[in-house]
Amino acid sequence: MNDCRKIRPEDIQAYVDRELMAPDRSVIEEHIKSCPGCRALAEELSRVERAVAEAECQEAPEGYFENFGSRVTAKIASQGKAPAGRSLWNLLGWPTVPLAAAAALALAITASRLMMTGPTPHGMTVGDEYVSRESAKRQSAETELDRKEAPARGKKSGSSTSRAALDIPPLVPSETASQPPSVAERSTDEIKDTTPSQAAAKAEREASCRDDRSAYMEELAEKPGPAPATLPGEGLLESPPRLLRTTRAILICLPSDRPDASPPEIGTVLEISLPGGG
Amino acid sequence: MDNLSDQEIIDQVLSGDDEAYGHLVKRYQRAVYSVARRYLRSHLAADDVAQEAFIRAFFSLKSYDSRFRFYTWLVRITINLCHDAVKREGRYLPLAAENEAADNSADPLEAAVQSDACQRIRREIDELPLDQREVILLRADRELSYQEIGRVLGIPAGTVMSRLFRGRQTLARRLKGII
Repeated sequence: MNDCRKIRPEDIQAYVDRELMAPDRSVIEEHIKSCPGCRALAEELSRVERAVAEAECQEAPEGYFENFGSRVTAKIASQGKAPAGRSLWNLLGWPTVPLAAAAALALAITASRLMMTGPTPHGMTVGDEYVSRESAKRQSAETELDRKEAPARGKKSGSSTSRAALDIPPLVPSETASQPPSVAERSTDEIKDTTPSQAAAKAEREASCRDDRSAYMEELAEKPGPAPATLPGEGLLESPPRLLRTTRAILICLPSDRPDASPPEIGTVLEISLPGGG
Repeated sequence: MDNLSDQEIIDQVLSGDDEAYGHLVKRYQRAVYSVARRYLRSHLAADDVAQEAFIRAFFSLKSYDSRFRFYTWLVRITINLCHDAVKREGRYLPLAAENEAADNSADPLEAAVQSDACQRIRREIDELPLDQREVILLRADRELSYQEIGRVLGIPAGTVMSRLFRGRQTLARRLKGII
């Protein structure tokens, strides 16, 4: 084949660079043999390619590569991370699952102690007893409210919708239970933003709680057994803790060691509700 | 370990054997250094980039696509780091910064002439438009195919071929009488 128009100069270069596979390679080879112009081009490209390869072959200083690998691995170790897909703990050779379990358990215990400070003579923790008394009190008030409102509600949806009949634990004090949205669903600002009558009722409830609590603490002090210390926030809060909202804790677990797990780099975040949080 | 394929070593690293990564470093350290040295024209800058390339590759090992050669991926990381280094410096590092050893030739005169010729060739390469310079340099050690150079630079193999051809034609014209 002597027709240079059918052969691109780039193809001759690809031939020189051994980038062509058969049968293209043999086609160009045959053409170059018979075409002085394309042969000259191939020779020129070949000379340039050799010259560049020679000029660009720059050696590193003697001994440079002897400790190159150790410098790289030292820097990797100093960064204290693992390749994506592997956890740091795996890199350090630490067991991941037991560590994660231990951390979760420790955090859960700590969180529980925020609510419960010690055992009472009844075998329950102070927190348990307090929660139990508060819940019973509210349920009683709500049952009373349900009883009063039952005829009105029964006209609309029947008596089976009563919260007491369904044994649904109340989320809010009885006074606000019928006013949507519930306190549990409202923000702190909304809770503060109440009418004078609601504020008065709130103050009354808080006073009642304080009285109940004081009486309860006195009762505990008179009984034998290990003395409960204090309720959470003693001396810090003006009023004792109230179960108006779900109390939450953030539990940060250690990263998974599953090789196919996508990052989180920091860890998996779970949310748990503490007992009595509603 | 020397008999293991790149992928086998990578699998070992990903399963927790960090020491295995040292074998990958040893296997490609010269090639990666050479790419950086050609691009940056400075031993110190090339040293920084070559080390950083291996470190980045280690921490990104999970994202390596095993359909392609590990070396290609490594060169891509290296070239990106070279681009960053050039941006930081605001220019290519000058050839004058190199203290060229005239190699170990027995004849000092021949060595000096050869060194001058090499410097002249490198200077002409550095005068090329960036797109042509890059493909010329990546092809210089004949390690990467057109397809792989295209993968490194994110361009089709046909574009690699045409840039390479234009660059070589320019060099042939400018270096007439030297090569």
